This record gives sequence, C-alpha cells and structure tokens, in this order.
Amino acid sequence: MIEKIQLKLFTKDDVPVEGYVPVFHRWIRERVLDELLIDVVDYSHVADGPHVVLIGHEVDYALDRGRGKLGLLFVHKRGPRPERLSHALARAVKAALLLEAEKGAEHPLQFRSDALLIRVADRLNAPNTDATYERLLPGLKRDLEALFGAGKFEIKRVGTTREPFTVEVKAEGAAPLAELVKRLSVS
Amino acid sequence: MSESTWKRVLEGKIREDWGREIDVFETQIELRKKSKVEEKLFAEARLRRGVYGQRYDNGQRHDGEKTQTLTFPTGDLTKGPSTAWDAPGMMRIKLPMGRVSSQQLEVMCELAEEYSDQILHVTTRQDIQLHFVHIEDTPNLMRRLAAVGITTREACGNSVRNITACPLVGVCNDESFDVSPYANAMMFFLLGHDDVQSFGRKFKIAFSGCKTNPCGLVNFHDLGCIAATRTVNGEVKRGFEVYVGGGLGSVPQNAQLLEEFCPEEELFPLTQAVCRVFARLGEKDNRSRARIKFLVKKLGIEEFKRLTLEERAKLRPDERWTNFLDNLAITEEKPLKPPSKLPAGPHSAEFEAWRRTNVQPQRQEGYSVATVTMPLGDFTPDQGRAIADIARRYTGDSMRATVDQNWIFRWVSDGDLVKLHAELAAIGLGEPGSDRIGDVTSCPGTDTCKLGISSSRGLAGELRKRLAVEQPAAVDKLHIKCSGCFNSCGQHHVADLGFLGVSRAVNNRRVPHFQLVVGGQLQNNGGSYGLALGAIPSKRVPDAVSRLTKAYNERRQGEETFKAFVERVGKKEIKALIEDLSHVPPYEQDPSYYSDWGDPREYTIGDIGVGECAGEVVSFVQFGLQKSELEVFEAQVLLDEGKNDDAATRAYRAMLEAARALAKEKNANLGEEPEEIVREFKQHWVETKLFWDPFAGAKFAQYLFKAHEEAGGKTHSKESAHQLVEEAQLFVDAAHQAHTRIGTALP
Ligand code: SF4
Repeated sequence: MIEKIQLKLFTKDDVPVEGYVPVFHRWIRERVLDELLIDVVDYSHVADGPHVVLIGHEVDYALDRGRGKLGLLFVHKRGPRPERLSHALARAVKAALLLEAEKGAEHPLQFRSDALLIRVADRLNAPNTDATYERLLPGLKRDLEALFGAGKFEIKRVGTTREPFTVEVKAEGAAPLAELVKRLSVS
Repeated sequence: MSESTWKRVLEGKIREDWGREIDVFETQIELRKKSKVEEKLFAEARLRRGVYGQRYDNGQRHDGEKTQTLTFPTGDLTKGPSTAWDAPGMMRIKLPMGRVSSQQLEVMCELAEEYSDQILHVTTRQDIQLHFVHIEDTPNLMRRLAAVGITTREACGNSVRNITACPLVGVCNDESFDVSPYANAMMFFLLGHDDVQSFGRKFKIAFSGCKTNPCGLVNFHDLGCIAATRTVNGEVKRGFEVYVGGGLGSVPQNAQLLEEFCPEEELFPLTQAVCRVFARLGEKDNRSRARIKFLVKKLGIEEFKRLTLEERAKLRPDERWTNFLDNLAITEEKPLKPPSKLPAGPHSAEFEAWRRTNVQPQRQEGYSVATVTMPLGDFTPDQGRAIADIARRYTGDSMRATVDQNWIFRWVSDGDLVKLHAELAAIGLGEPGSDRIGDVTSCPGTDTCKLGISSSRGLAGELRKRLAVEQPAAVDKLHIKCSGCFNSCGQHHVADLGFLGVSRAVNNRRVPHFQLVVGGQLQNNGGSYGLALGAIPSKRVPDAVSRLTKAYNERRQGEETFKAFVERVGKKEIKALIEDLSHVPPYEQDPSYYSDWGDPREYTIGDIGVGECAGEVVSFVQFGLQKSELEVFEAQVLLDEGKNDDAATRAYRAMLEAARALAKEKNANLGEEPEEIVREFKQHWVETKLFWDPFAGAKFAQYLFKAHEEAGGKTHSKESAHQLVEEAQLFVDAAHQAHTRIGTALP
C-alpha cells in the first residue's frame, strides 16, 4: 500500500500551459474523468511550481513545472489508497493521454514514457530515508518491471530528508505511453 | 506495534494547553461526524481554529453553462450551515507581526505539500493561507504547527485576529521604538481570553512604530496602537497613541483617537476594557453592522471612551498586563553576520534594478532589509525551503511576511546583498518592483473566496503582466490594490488605484466589473480613503489603468501625489477620461466581456455563497457548555480505557467548566481558580435558585460541590469514577437547562 502518492509524467517539450485552464474547466463540465473534480486554479505566475491545477476530491492533476521540468503531476490525496503503484500510474497516464488528445490546444502536450518521478507526500509514514526506500522498493520494482520489463529501468532516491520521499525512474527505450498503459493492470 | 500518529510523534514538543485544545478540536470533529455537535456551534468552533470555508463548499458550482452538484462522498454531513463536510477549505495560519523562523517556514512548506495544493499564500494581514485542505487533516496540521510554536487559534471567526505590525519595526529609521514585544505579548494575552469570546464580529489589531509611514495601516483597524514617547520629569516614557473603530468594507471608517498617550503599562488593560465594551454593546443580530466601527460611531468617541474607562476601573488586576515589560528583549533579533559594505560595482543590471526597489537601509549601519517580491503572495514549498536556507546563511530567523503580500529578510549584511539576490534569482524570486505599481496586491476573490464577486486575483495577475514593462518614475511609485467584493480584504481604499469587484446586468447577462476607487492614501498609516468613480467591465480595467497613469504622468504638477492630482483635477474630469470604457458590447459581438480574468467560464454570480468572515454568533456560555460536554466525552473515553482517576478528574473539570460558563455571565471578572468558580456559582446560581431542578432541587449542584471537596484527594475505583462521570453528565445537562430557562441562550 502506498500512501499519498504523487507521480509526475514529464512532457517532451516545455510549452506554455495557461491554455489548459479552459481545458480543465471543460473536463469538469463534461465529467471527462470518472471522479469528482471541483475547480481549476491558475498559478502560472509562480516560478517552477504547479502552474495549472485541476483540483479534485481524491486527486489533483497539475501541469507542474517543479524544478524547472514541465509534466503532469498526479497527486493522490484521499479516498481508497491505490493498492499498487500501477493503479495510480494507470490514472495518471489516462489523464496524460487525454491531454495529448487535446488537439485544439495552442501548445499541444506530448508526454515522455522514459522518465517518471514518484513521490510520497507523507512524512509520518514515509519520510525520505533509506528505511522508507528499502520498504517501498520491492513494490515499486515489481510494478515497474511489469511496466518496463526487468532490468529495463533505473530507480534512484533523490532529495533530502526535508523533502517528501522521492524517486526518479529512468527507462530508456520505453514504449510510448499508449502502449505502456495497456500493460498496467487496473483490476 | 502501535500505529504511528502525529500526536504520538510530537508528544512533548507541543505546549500542553495548545495540545489539549487540538485534542478537543479533534473530538469535536468526531462528534460532529456523529451529529452530536450542533452545526452552527461546530462552524464557529472550527473558524476559531482557523479552519475556513471556501468557494463551492455548499456543493454547487457553475460550470459556465449550468450549476452542477458536487457530490461529495459524505453526503449530507456538514461542517457548518450549507457547508459540505468533504468540501475543500482554507486553513489560515496566524503569524503575529508576520514573523517566521526558518524552521516554521519549513513546516508550513511540508503542510502545503501534504495537505494543500502545493502553494503557500501570504495574505494582506501577514498570515499564511493554505487552500483546498480537508477538515479531517486539520488537527494534525495544527499539531505540526504547534510543535514549532504556531497556533491557528482565533485566526478566523468572531475573535481577535492576527495582530499585525510594520515589518520594519526594530530596524526602521522613523520609529519611536520597536513595538514587537508589545504586539507579541498582546497576542498571547488576548489569545483565548474570556473577554474576547463573545464578539459579534471579528476584531483586528495593528501596531505601528510611527505615525507617518504606511506600513502599520493603523487607521483602518478595529484597534490601532502607534508607538509614542513622552518625557516626564526628564525621563522618557514609552506609550501608545491608541485608535479605535477604523475599518474598510462597504462603509469605510477612519479610526478615532481613544487615548493620545496610553502609558505602556496601561495598554493591555485599556485593550481589555475596549474588548469588554465591544462584547457587551456591539451589534449581534445584524452582521453587517457588527464591527466595532459601528458601535463607536453610534455612541460617539467620547461616550465610547467613557464606557471604556468605566470598564477599565472594574477590571481585576492581571499580572500579564505588565509582566512582559521586564523582558522586552524577547523579540530582539541578533544579526547573523557583522555589518559590512556593499562591494564597489559595477554590478549586474538585474541586481541594480532589484536593489533600487527591493532594498532599504536599516537604522543599523551596514545592514539592509531585502524584500522578496512574491507574485500575488504565492510561493511553492521548494521556494519556501530555499528561503529558509537563505535566512540560515545570511540573516538568521528574522523574516517577516508583509501586508503587501511580500516577504522580507531583515539584518542582511550589506556585503551579502549581491549573493542573496543571486540566490533568490535562482529560485525565481529575484524580481525587482516591490512597493511599485506592478506589485499589485489582491485578496483571493473568486478564486477561492465564497463571497467573491469578481476575480481580483485574475485582474491583479493581468495588471502585473502589463505593468512589468518600464514605467515613468512617477507612475512606478503608485500602488494598486484589488478586492473581490466590498468586504475590502485587498485594502483597495488606501491604494492610488483601487478596484473592488461588482457585477452588472447587461442585456440579460451578468458581466464582471470593478468599481474604481482613486486617490487613497497609504501614507499616515493608511490615512485616507479614495473616491469611487464608477464601475468598469473587468476586461477594460487595464485600459483604465493605462489612461489614468498616463494622464497623471503628463499632467501632474511638480511632485504632486496621485491623490493630490485627483483632488486638483476633480472627479468629473478623471471620470471623463475613462467614461467610454464602461460600455459593454453585446455578447454576440464580443463574448470576452462576459467572462472574468483567468476564468474562461461564462460569468455568473450564482457561485457566491454565504461568507464565513462574519462567523456564527456564539456566546461565551455556549462555548463553555460545549467545552464541558467535550470534557464529559473525554472522561467517558478514559473510563473505557480503565484510567479511572483521569476519568474522574475530567468529569470534575467538566462540571467546573459548565459552572464557570454560567458564573461568568454574572461576574465578568471571574478567574480560573476552582475555589472561586464554585463560590461564585453557588452565590449567583444556586442560592438564587436559578440552578434549581423543579423536582430534584439543588441535587445536581451538589454533584459539583462534592466533587470539588474530594478533588485530588481520592483514588477512584471503576465504580466511583463511573458514578462521577454520570454525575458530570447530569450536571452539564442541568447547566444547559438553567441557561435556557433564564432566557440568555441565543437562538
Ligand atoms: S474582499 Fe471579498 S472576495 Fe476578497 S477575500 Fe474579502 S470577502 Fe473574499
């Protein structure tokens, strides 16, 4: 079980994202995602942070430029915890593919499948320490192997103990997201 | 192994009374979930812990085409009238005088990451706000703050809000003396004080080190204290010029002078007396006229002063009035580095531009105050941690949040300015322009506020972008402030150009507008308010700003201020400059007018909810009785855990709480000593037969008397503790009945 998991799927290019404010509003209106979505916030005035955030009850989806890298940040906040990384990843990828499909957007988004950031924003149960890494690693590996194949990825713990538990995953030569999503068991 | 909780992890790190208060709040949450606490009472209890409602928390949101219901999982459960339990809310973190240490900042960053939307927001009253927080996360959030010395108690609700002060106190050239220790002590003195629990509305206090500068903004506060000195028999005495009854909102009011010179040792009793008069005579039913400014106006300052002094004479002496005077150094900041000189240039153009607008020399030679321009008051946890590190490297814990939603480092050794700027620039916070026209201040407006009419943040963001280009020197010095509605949290009345959100109906559709207010004055503590010039469609406001600033730049005489310019040229002519901008084309011709800045949905006012600024009117007795019920509940829990003595102590305390709540109605000076409480309760309620059961007579009162006699001296068995808990429950019920019977209960 992974608590308060956050996943970031990086975009191929850095593009302005303010144009996605109306897109997220439309997602709420048309109930595009099968979950309770509440509002959209525009923080594009903030440097290197969550720029456009789709606030939900269980999950927030942010077009985030944290650490200068644009991506879709999936933030699980409450509700049934994703039992496995793959469950959370399936939801994040689904949102990313929907964003890619926004053809009318002035600056289309395309997501990479060869890099991933995994964060657990729960310092009580998962501080950014070696012990947490050792505890979570087997589960992470199992799910990432199912996704990328054994030995096809690297996993690295990053950040200091002040920051949330964070790992970076690199999987050079990974299949495109649309392919990968088929491998994610969401049952 | 027992489950790890923040309560356990932080045990011993939280002040005992703060920890207990948070436990009580957590219990209130549990009881509310079981519908065992009344909705209004819970709402006010939550507000007084800084847990505020947010837009759409009634479960309705207009999506641009129609209103949709937000179906939250907890269904009908509410956390206040029309406020869905699961709806995200705002957490206000009270920072007295905006002071923050590196450690505190780091904790707030953690909280933003774990419970909020990864953004920290500086308010116009030196608080930090986190948005989109779930009510059930708040007790742990509060514990983590309490462990680093921050309480959110009374950050919202009908209470004494954050006490603000000029951020430059202690280092300013113009101040009479450093007001920090006074503001700090007053915050602790009034926190949870009995005399501030029965207000009809909120109460805001500000301190200023001088009369002339803008930073303290005393003029629009409920109570304002300006440092002053007097020489008596050759000795310099410290004191305060005390003002009362200022306020913004739809009826802005200048504060009135209550005391020309209140000696330092008299400041707290005077304040306490003001609070008592406000609690006793302030409006309770009509919320829109319940601030103290209306009371001062109604009574007249002379009568208000007479009543205050009369109340002052009745106060029971309190050592806290003056104890703090023995340790005025408590808030003193020690520089981390020795003073130094800025190395001779040349420096980069970026640094020079930043230095021009964001650096002010301190009174102490070799040191400066450096301002971090926070766009719209927002920053990320990564930025926050970097700021904490910068403070550790250059200044020590001497940061403050400012009322113009920026952040300052004090005690920067001048030789470090170049490096400090480079480090800020590396985290995207090295922009110049603090205290300039592009540094627009704004309240949350329709982004998150339930009362927002127009998007003040959207407008502020747009103006920031447009004003980022170089401005003529005179124009650059102007200030713009935006409020989303007439409540004026953006403090637009005191800006050169102020905007307040309104809406207008045009061709059967709603169009977001802003009322333009020109010529307010920040100087002299927000000394005078601007003139309203009529409403402009939101989308034309940037054009209005550009026309007015152009006219000012071209037509001002000498060093004429904008306020003086407006007064000389006249309202009529100024209005004529922008008259045509008020025209709204039909929707079919230009639909962009029909949505607001930063929000592409078609504009509606349907999302405006019932504000919580006004809180719920809950009397001291109601709060006291609720507290006693919580004590009984806790006693029952302890009993179930087999902790008989603890359960008995709690049960006794429950009865004392209830007795005190009642007795306090008859004696405002009642203290906290059990002996005194029991005596007063007996005198005013039992001997008068007010606390008297028609069948059982004084039986329930006897439960308290017996428990009081036995307190501390008895070891309890399961049975005797059980009996005491039962008796406490009956006593608390009887207290409720007695209170209702004499008709003092509020509807
Ligand atoms: S001024 Fe109005 S919109 Fe702005 S925060 Fe205050 S109540 Fe809300």
